[in-house]
Amino acid sequence: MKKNDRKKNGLWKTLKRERTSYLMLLPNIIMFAAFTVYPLCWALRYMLYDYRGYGEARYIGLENFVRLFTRDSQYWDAVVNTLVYVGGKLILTIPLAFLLAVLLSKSSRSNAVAQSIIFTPTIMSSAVMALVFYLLFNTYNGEINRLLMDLGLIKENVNWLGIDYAMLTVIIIAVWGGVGNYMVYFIAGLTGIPSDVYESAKIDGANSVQILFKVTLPMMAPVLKMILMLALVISFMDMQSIMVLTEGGPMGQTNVMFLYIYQLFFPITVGSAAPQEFGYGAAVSLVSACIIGMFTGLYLFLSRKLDKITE
Amino acid sequence: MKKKSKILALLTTLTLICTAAGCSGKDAVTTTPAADGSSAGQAAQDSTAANAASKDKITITYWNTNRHDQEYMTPLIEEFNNTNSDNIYIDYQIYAENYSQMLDLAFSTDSAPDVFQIPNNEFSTITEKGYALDIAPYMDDAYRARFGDGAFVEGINSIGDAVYSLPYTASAVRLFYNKDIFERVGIDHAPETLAEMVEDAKLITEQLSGEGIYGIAGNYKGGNAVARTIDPIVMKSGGTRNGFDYKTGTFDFSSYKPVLEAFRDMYSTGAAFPGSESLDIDPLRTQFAAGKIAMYMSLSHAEPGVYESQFPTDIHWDCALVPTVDGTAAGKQQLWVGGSNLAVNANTEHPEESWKVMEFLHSDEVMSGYYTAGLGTVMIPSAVEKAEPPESMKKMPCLELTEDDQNWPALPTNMVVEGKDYPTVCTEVIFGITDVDAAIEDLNTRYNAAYDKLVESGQERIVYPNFDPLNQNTDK
Repeated sequence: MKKNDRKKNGLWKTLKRERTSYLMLLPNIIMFAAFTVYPLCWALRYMLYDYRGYGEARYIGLENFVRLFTRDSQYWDAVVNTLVYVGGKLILTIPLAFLLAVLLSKSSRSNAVAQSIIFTPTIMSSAVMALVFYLLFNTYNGEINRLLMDLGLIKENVNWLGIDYAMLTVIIIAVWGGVGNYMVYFIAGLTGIPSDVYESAKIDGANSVQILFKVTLPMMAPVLKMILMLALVISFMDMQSIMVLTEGGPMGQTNVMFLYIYQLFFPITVGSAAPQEFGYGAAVSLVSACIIGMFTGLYLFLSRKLDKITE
Repeated sequence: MKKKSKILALLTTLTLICTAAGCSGKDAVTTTPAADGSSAGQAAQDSTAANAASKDKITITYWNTNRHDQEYMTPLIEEFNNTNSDNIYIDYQIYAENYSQMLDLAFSTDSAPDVFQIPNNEFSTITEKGYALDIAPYMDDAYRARFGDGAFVEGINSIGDAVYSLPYTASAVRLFYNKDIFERVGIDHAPETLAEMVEDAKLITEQLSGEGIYGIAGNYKGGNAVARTIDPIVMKSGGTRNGFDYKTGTFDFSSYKPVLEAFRDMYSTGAAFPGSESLDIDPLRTQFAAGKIAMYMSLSHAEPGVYESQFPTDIHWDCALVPTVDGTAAGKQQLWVGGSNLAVNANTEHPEESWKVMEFLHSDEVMSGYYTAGLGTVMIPSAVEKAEPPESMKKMPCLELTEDDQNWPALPTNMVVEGKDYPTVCTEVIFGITDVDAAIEDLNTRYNAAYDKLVESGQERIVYPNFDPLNQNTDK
């Protein structure tokens, strides 16, 4: 009893002491509860039901999950597509963003201009971005093909949005849209490394490459861990630009998990009479959230040593 | 320094407040879609103007997806707004992509339009969801008579005695072709059989692909293209509608086989326009207008307007009826639209005024001009009688609907088919990803399983024992 009272008093004291911080967090918590937690709970309660967004919701037990795990190959294709997309995006984005950060981290006017230009895609609407890239990448008169043709790199137009290259195109666009954001994170991390560490390395005779791999990268480990986790989770949830650019096609080649879920709630084919499947969509959402959670957990486990590097 | 921080904090707060204010309010709904393809900002401006103009008037919001008739409708609606004696202001908004979702979202947030266009093929869904008002009480016999005999059809615009929509315009799929290209390669008429179509496409591509000209194209980015290309040919060749066989009350996609094989022959062998699997209809039209595509299939009501205002072109083009497997019409071709179009929101605060707007939009004054301008085949006899035939139909008689274009009986609704839908599977066959026989077997199995499940849950199986695709006898 006494122990509980002590705990209660301790919690109250903490709240009182940090009230300014909690007050500042409050708007965000309210928004998060209203626009994320509540809709999530609203949708998830239907995962055991056959529900189409109107009419009566019919209880069907675990049937939605049975369908998902035994009969829905489309979803598992989408999971594979998502992994290819996430892997491709991260492999290209993170090293590129780090390289740009190293090159542009020194304070100068030209670097500031370059940083702003590279960051611009981050604040652009991904739908607009996808439309612009559709014009650039289209097979018949796209500028990319024209440029490659002029350079003599290709002899006939590449079908960038066709079956063979659509995923690569989607990844290229995602890298272009995300690299500026991660560059800024890396720059923030780089500026946090004390200059005396670099000075010591130089006195010890280290060259630039050695400094990069033996000093900068290890010192960036905790920041890198956070950036990778953010990039991983965000990439798993990407779908807007894919929806505008390919609608998940051609023939499902770029259909990713969240686009598949979106289509269950809101069938996007014009003129389609396909009914909405709120119940099944809720079940798929839960499984997808578990998949993302699993990958994030696995990543955190594998990367746990990154925190200890600077200790 | 402190002063600077205060100013910065003040500016930040103001920015946040402005952002929050901008996000709130009813206008957010109207600015979300890029109406008629213009920017969201433009839509916001229009909406603001609408609000200013509608002060002290009863605003009736009207949503539709018809970009092709915008030039014609806008001044008429403006005139109505300025002259009507009922104090009504029509807030006219045109939506582009994902209209069904916008409508669902609007209804679920209680911000739905008072009068709205029913999304294509969704009459039964809209009525089941309870979106549409029964407008039968507003119509007297004289008003009904102006739509002609047999205008009100169960499952098309009516359910029982209730009427939810009115005949407006009709449209059907046609083959559009570039006469200049046909002449260059020595083809003197549009293909009437599938074999001719394949042969023509291959010949054109073989001779002119060096100039970037190809025999055929399709907008296969979405499954919608199957409804514009494969379905009408199957139906007119005596096959099933969307795979459903009314005679047996089951799904049978076997009549799709010759059509899918012919299309695969064109699209998997390089005879078709490159990138067709990722084309939308408008980019396709721009390439047709640029003289790069010899043939494609689209809608009789839309294309004349598109090449008049949206993508003006100097090429000589024409249209033809869709080809069939053996050149003869063994079945009717389902109308793209016809029999229903607009509905009144069941929850509107202004049912009387909304009905008046419906009356205006379906009036002889509006629809006669609509017909003459070639914007669609008007299905209101009283309006057509008073109108001059449109120039486009004089030049291209096949834009006119024929006796082979008609509504088929209603299909089973609310079927949940597990796995890929048939347009997706058909597209996979066309582009050589899936074998045609395996695809048909798979579709038959899954669609029949879904329909059986629906019947088990209480829906009556649709069976017309004497039905055939040409005579469509629906006696039970």
